[in-house]
Amino acid sequence: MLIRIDASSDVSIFEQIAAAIRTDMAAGRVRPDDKLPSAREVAASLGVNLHTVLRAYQVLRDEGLVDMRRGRGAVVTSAAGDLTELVGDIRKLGARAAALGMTPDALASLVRDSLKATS
Amino acid sequence: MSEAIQAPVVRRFIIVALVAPAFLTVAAFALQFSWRHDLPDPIATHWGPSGAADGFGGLATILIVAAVLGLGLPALIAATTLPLLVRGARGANFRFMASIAVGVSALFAVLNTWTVDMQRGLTDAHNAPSVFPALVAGFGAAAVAGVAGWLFQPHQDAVVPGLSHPVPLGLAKDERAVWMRTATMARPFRILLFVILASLGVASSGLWIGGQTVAAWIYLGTMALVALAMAATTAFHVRVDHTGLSAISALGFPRFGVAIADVADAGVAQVNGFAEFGGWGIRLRPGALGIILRNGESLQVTRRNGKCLVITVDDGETAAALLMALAKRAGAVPPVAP
Repeated sequence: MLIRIDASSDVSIFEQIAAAIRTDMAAGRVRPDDKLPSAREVAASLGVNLHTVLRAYQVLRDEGLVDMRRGRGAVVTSAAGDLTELVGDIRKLGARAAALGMTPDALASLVRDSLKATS
Repeated sequence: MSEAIQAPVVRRFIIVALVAPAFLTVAAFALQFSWRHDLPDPIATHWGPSGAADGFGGLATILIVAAVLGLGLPALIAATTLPLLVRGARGANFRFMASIAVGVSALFAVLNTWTVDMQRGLTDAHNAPSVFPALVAGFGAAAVAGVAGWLFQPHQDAVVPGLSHPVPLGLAKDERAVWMRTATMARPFRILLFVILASLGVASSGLWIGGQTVAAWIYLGTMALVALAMAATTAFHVRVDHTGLSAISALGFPRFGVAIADVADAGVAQVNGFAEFGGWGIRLRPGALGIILRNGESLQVTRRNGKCLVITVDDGETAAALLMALAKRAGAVPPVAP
């Protein structure tokens, strides 16, 4: 599991941590039933506050990607596996967009706008 | 490295690990077979702890066991080690494995031939003399053959074939990063350890019920040791951050690591525990310490003094890429080799 944080970024640290773990889930590097490292360890290694890491874990729990249990820590749920599949679909979509001559940025904004329209 | 320098390594490995054991086994076989008319029937094939014969059978039993052990074990060693040597791997461990092969072969050749020889002219194998002189001769021959086999082979500088160096991660100036992964022992080993543990448990309770309390305590103690070894070596938390690389057993002890300032190189290579480290677990070999929990992908980190730490962990590529990026930033790895 690779977590990178950049203090000079506009994105808040806890969101960066959550995004990094989500990316690893999508890439299949973190799989269902894997245990996330203890928040204390992550905090010490990154030199951030323990509560920042815990907040990132809570974000992932709210998304149903991890299960937080007392004594067992944060365990990755099967939803993470679905995320891996979703990435496959995204890649297919990207390939189609590329065939149409669209840049990844144009596709991303199109996806964002069409999701806003439906919600 | 040119072919001319490397060729003797493979050729001499084959001579020591396969040709010599074959010669020893065939010679032992021929001698024992030639004595078949001078032997009692049945002959003694097994000796108890007191040194007296306690198992009997035909000469065929001894011959088959001699062939299987004297030639089969070296063949097993060569079958796992030779393919790596041919692919270009080098190291003192390969030289050592060949010495073990010829040593094992010499042990069984001398031990078997001696025990058959001492029964020539006997009418009843129950009168066979003690096995101890044969054992001493066997282990003596094994030591001599092993040392000779070692000296016969040339010195090898360690070469890990297929060591790939991932591109260091591009880290922004203020970017902080950590990579973490738990390396676990391959399932078959975990099952094997569990079976050993369970059998020790069954054996000790059996002894307890049978009233042999002292033996039961010994088994129980062994069981505790196996359990401790299991807990200490079946899982390691591996971490790469700004302090360097660390690998800590799930038990909290033992712990290994390389400080960031001591990192000279990091890469990924396939590893075969038996052929390269003589087994699995926490292994030491000249120039390298291995946390070898399975075969396959491994992270290999070289210190500034040339010593290497090898850990079988998934996604080692990311770990190596991050470690190199952090080491470069810490100024540990200069742009030009020192």
